[in-house]
Amino acid sequence: MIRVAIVEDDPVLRSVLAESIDACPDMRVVAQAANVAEATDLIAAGGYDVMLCDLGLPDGSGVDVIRREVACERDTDILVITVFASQNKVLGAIQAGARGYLLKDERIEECIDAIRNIREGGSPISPIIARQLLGQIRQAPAASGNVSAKGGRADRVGGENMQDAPQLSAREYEVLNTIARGFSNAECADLLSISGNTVATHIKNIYRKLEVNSRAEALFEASSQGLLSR
Amino acid sequence: MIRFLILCLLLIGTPATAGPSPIAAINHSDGKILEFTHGEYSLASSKIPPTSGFERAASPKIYQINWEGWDFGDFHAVTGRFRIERDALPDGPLALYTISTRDQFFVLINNAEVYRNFADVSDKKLSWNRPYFIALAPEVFRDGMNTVEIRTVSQGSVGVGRVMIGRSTAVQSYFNTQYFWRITAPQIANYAMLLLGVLVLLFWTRRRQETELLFLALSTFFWFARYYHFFGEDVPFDLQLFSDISENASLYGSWSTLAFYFYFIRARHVRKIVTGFFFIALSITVIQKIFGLDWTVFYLWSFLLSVAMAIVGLASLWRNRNLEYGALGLAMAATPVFAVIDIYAAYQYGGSGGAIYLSVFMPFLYTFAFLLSFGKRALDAFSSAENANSVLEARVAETRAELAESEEARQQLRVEQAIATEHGRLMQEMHDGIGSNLVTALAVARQQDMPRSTVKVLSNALNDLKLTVDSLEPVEGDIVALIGNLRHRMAGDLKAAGIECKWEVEVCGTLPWLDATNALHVLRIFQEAISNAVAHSKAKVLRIGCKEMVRGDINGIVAHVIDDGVGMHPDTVPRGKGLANIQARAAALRGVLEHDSSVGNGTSISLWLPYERESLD
Repeated sequence: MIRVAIVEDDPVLRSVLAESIDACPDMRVVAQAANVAEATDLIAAGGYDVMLCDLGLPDGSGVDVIRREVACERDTDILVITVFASQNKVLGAIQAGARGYLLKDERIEECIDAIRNIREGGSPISPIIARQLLGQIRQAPAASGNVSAKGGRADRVGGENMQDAPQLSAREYEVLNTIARGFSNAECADLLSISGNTVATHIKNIYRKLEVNSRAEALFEASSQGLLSR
Repeated sequence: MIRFLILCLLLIGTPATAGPSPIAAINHSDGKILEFTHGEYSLASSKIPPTSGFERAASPKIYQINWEGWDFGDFHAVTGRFRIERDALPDGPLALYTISTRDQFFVLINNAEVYRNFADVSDKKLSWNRPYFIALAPEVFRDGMNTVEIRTVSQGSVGVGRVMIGRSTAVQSYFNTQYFWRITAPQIANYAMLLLGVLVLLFWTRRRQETELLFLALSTFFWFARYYHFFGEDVPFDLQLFSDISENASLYGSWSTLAFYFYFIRARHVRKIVTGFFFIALSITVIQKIFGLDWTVFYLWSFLLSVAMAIVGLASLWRNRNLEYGALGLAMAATPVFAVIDIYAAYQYGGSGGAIYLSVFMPFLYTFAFLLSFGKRALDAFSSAENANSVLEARVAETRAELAESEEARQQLRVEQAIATEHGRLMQEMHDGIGSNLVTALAVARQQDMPRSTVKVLSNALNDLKLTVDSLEPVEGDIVALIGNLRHRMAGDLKAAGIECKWEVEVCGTLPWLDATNALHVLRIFQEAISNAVAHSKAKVLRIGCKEMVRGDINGIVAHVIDDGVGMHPDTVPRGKGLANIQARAAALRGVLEHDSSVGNGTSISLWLPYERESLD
C-alpha cells in the first residue's frame, strides 16, 4: 500500500487527484494540505510514502515544503505537481529534494503510473531537463565502465567543498545524453541494452546527485563568502 | 730655411757696426713687411734708453725671469735698437708692429718717441701675448740710416719681441689677424665660458644632486682666471697676487675639470679621486710658495692630469660611441695634444709670440662639449618624460575603456537580469494564473462530463500555453532537444491513440538563430503535424526525426513527421487553415516545408532549416 500526501491549493484538482488515487487498490491518500502552514503540520505528523506538492502555494513556495520534508530524512518520495515541466521549476524542485514531477493536466492514469514508478525507484525526465542536467553535473573523468553510481570519484580540480560533490558516472552520462536527444526511457534502455527500470533508477540517482551538488554548491558559496567557519 | 738664407745673405753684405740691422722680408698680400732678425740690446736700468753698452743678439730677445735667476717683482729694463736705411723701407704710409714686447714699453724713432703703451709706472700691462700696431708719421724717417729703439720695463720676464715695419695696410692686415686669434677670439671664448659657468652654477643650485654641474662651473672660473692674462690688456690688481692666481688656477682648473669629467662619466670611487687630487693640488700650491719653486711645476701637474683625462676620455669614447660621451671624450683627448703643440711653439719662438696659443680655447671646448652632452641627456630626459606621459595616458585610456566596457557589461547584465526577472514573473503568472485556471477548468469540465468540444477547446488552450512555455526554454539552438521535448510531451497522446512512435535522429549541429519566436514556429509546425497524425491518420507508426541535409549548396537540418496512415488524395487535401498556417510559419523560418500524401500511403511532412540564415540573403 502506497500512502500518499497531497499539498495543493486548488480544491478541484486536489479532490480529482485524491479520488483517483483512492480509487486505486494499492494506494491511499492519507493527508492533504492547501497551503504551507497546513503542510508544515502534515510533515510533522508524517505517515506517508509519497508527497505530491504544488509549487505555487498561497502562503509561500512549495520548494520550502519540499525542503522541510527532506530535512526529516524519511524515506519519502516527493513529486512536484506543475502545469508545465519547465526546466527552472523542475530543476529548482529537484535541487530542493523532489524526485520527479506530475503535470497537472496529465491523464490520471499516468499520474498513478508516475506515483507507482517513483516508489519503485524511477523518475520521469524530459529532453530539455536532461540537456540542462548535462551542463549542471560534472562528469567523472574516467568514462570507461565507471557505473558505480554512488557518488563517483572526487575531482581534485574543483573547489575544496566541491571535492565531494558527486559526478555523473559514464552510464548516467550516456542515459542523460540519450534522453536529451529525444529518446524515450524505453528507447534509451534498448540503445544502452539495459532495462527500462534501470534507466529510471539512473535518472533518480542523477536527480539525487543534482540535489547533493546544489547543496555542495551552496556550501561552497557560503564558505567562499566567509559565512561558514571551517 | 728661406728666412735663414736671406739672413745669411744680409749678414755677409753688412758691416759689423753702424750698418743696418739684419732684416727678413715677409711677403704679405697687401705689401712688404720687414722683420728685424737681429738687433742690439742693453740691460741698462736708466729711465731713458742708454747710448752705449749694446750687444748684438738675435731678435726677438726675451730675458726669461726663470732663466736669468731674477726675483719676480724686481724691475728690469731692456732696450732694443735696430737700424734701417730709408731706401730699404717701402714707400707710402708706414706702420710698426710688435708682439711680446713686455711689459711697459715706448718706441723711439731717431730719438723721437712715437708710441707708449702705458700711462705711468703703476699702469701694469699684460703685453706678452698682445700684438701692437703703431702707425708712423711719414716724416719720422729720414734719408739714410734710421734708428728704431724700443725700451721696455717689467717686474717679470722682460724683452723686445718681434718687431716689424712695413706698409701700413699690410701691417694693419697682419696685425688684425694676429689680434683676432690672440685676443678677440680667446676673449669671446673665455667670456662665453664664464657666462655659461655662471648659468651652470645657477642651475646647480636648483639641482644639487648633479655634482658635475658644480665642478663644471668651478672649472670655468678657474680656467678664466688662468687664461685672463692671454687676452687681458691690464693687470687688474696687485701684480704678485694676479700672477699667483693665474699660475695656481691651472692647478685647480685641471683638478675641477677632472672632477667634473669623472662625475659626468660616473667613474668609480669618484669622490675619493676628486678629494685626493684636490689635496695634491693644494700641496703643490703650498710647496711652490714655501720653496719658491718654478711655476713650471704647475704646468707639469696640469699636463699629467690632462693626459690622464685624455686616456679616460678615449676609453669612454670607445665604450660609448654617441654624442653624449663622444663630444667630451674628444675634447679631453685633444687637451694634451694642444698643450704639446703650445709648448713646442713656445720653445721654438722663445716665448716671444711666434705662434698662436691653442690651449686658451680648451676650457671653452670642454664647456661647449659638456653642454652638448648635457643637452643630449636633457633631451633624453624630456623625451622619456614625454614617453612616460604617453604611457600614462595610454594606461588611463585603457582603464577608461575597461571601465566603460565593464559599465556596459554591468548595464547589459542589469538588462538581462531585468529580462530574466520579468520572464520568471510571466512564467509564474502563466503557471499559477492562466495555466492553473485552465487545468482546473479542464478538470471541472471532465468531472462534470461537459461536451467534448468544450473539453477539446480547453485542452487545446492548455497545449498552446505549454508550447509557448516550451519555446521559451533555453535550448541554445538544439533543435533535437526542442522536438524531442515535444515528442516527450505528446507521448501520452500517441500512446492513447495507439500509435507507436519511432524516433529517428542523427547527430545535428545547432541553429544559432533559434530564439524563442523561431522555436515557437518550429514547435507549432510539429505539434500540428503530430496532432493531425493522431487525430486523422489512423496510423500504426509515426516516424519523427531529423538529420543534416544540404539543400542548394546550403547546409541545414531536415526534420520530418511521417505516418503510415490512410493518407489523403493530393486533390482532396483540405487546403485548410492548418497546412496554410504551417507553410506560413516555415516561410517565416526561411525554411522549406514539404507535404506529401496520397491515399493509402500515409502522410509525410518535412521541414528543412538552414544553419546560417544570412547565406540565404
